[in-house]
Amino acid sequence: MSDINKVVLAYSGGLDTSVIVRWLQDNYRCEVVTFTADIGQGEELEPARAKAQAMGVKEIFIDDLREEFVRDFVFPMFRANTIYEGEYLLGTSIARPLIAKRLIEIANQTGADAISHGATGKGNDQVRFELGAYALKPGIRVIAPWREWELSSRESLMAYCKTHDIPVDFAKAQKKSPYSMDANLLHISYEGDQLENPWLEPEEDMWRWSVSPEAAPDSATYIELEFRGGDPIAVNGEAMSPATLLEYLNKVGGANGVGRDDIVENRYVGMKSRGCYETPGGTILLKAHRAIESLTLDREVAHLKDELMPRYAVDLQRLLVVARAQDAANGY
Amino acid sequence: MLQTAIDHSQAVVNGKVRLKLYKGNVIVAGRQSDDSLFDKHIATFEEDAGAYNQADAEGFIKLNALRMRIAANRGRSPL
Repeated sequence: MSDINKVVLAYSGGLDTSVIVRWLQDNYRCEVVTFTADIGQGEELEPARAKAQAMGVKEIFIDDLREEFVRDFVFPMFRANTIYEGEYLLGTSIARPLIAKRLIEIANQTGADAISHGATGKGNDQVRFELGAYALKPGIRVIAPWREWELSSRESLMAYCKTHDIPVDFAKAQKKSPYSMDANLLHISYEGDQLENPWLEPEEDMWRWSVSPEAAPDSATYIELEFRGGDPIAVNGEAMSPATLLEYLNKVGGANGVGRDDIVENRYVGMKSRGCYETPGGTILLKAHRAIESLTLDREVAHLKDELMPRYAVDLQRLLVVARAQDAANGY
Repeated sequence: MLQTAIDHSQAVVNGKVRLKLYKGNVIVAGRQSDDSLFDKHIATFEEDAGAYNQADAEGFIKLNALRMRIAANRGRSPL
């Protein structure tokens, strides 16, 4: 199909990217390197190693990027009080430059000439991954199987697994939620299925991180959040690492029904899409950060920040990710 | 570039926030900071011992209104 020798794949260990491993091996006749990142998606990573090994992958990278993700990507975004289109806390967007950066680092380390990802041709994530990759390594080749292959449904992917000897836990795969989901330490998102009707309220059992406000405790929970240089450093007097702190806020927020959002947003590729999000820790963080800024920032600085913020949010949602990935790669 | 500007503004963003979480709401219950620009001697509704001279507000408003008065005298809407 082309002259690619080695490709680094952003590999979750799930159905789609498992099919991609085999598909790349068969169609590009190239060696596949897998990269699996822990950014707090709440899934075990070792099964991804076993599956990759079973498909003959020799170079397997599994990285715990949780602290780096929160410290170098999530917190800097919250310094700007970033909200996209008045609602969205950019939980998916902010994770992409970090993945792009690691893909390129691994490509350099293993001598790969291409990267690949499981983002579809309809979404923003392909744009984010690829802009980041091209900015960091202009000559890199990108293979996006969803834009090339004919496999368009879950059934066709499952059938491909059966005929191509791909190890999938079929019982688990079939029980899967009907929604297209993405999770990391900042949020979990849901798209597709019933949500494609913007009038329909999501079913209560869709939500995974938070109780409904109706089911939340009848008495309030108080927390104290300490900031230093615009970043949270302690909760209730206890110093915490960035990832630990965000995880804690997710837990206490979720237990109180905080952080649910149901929105229709404009994607960079042009379409409107409906998505539901749970961002308990981020929702608390935004409110708290604004409260400290209200006390400490000069009026004109605060107002300027508010004017810049929507632009910052749009940049982050599409292009500035490049700069973020570059900065991270440069150690800024 | 934007991030650098934003980060620069954050040097003084230090302090504590107390928050109340209740049935889906996040409500600020208190905030404090050693870098606070809030001055209760100036902001107070009580006797401020000369911290803020209310008479100064008259000139402040008059000059702010100057361009509007000029426009209004010419029969134009200033806004």
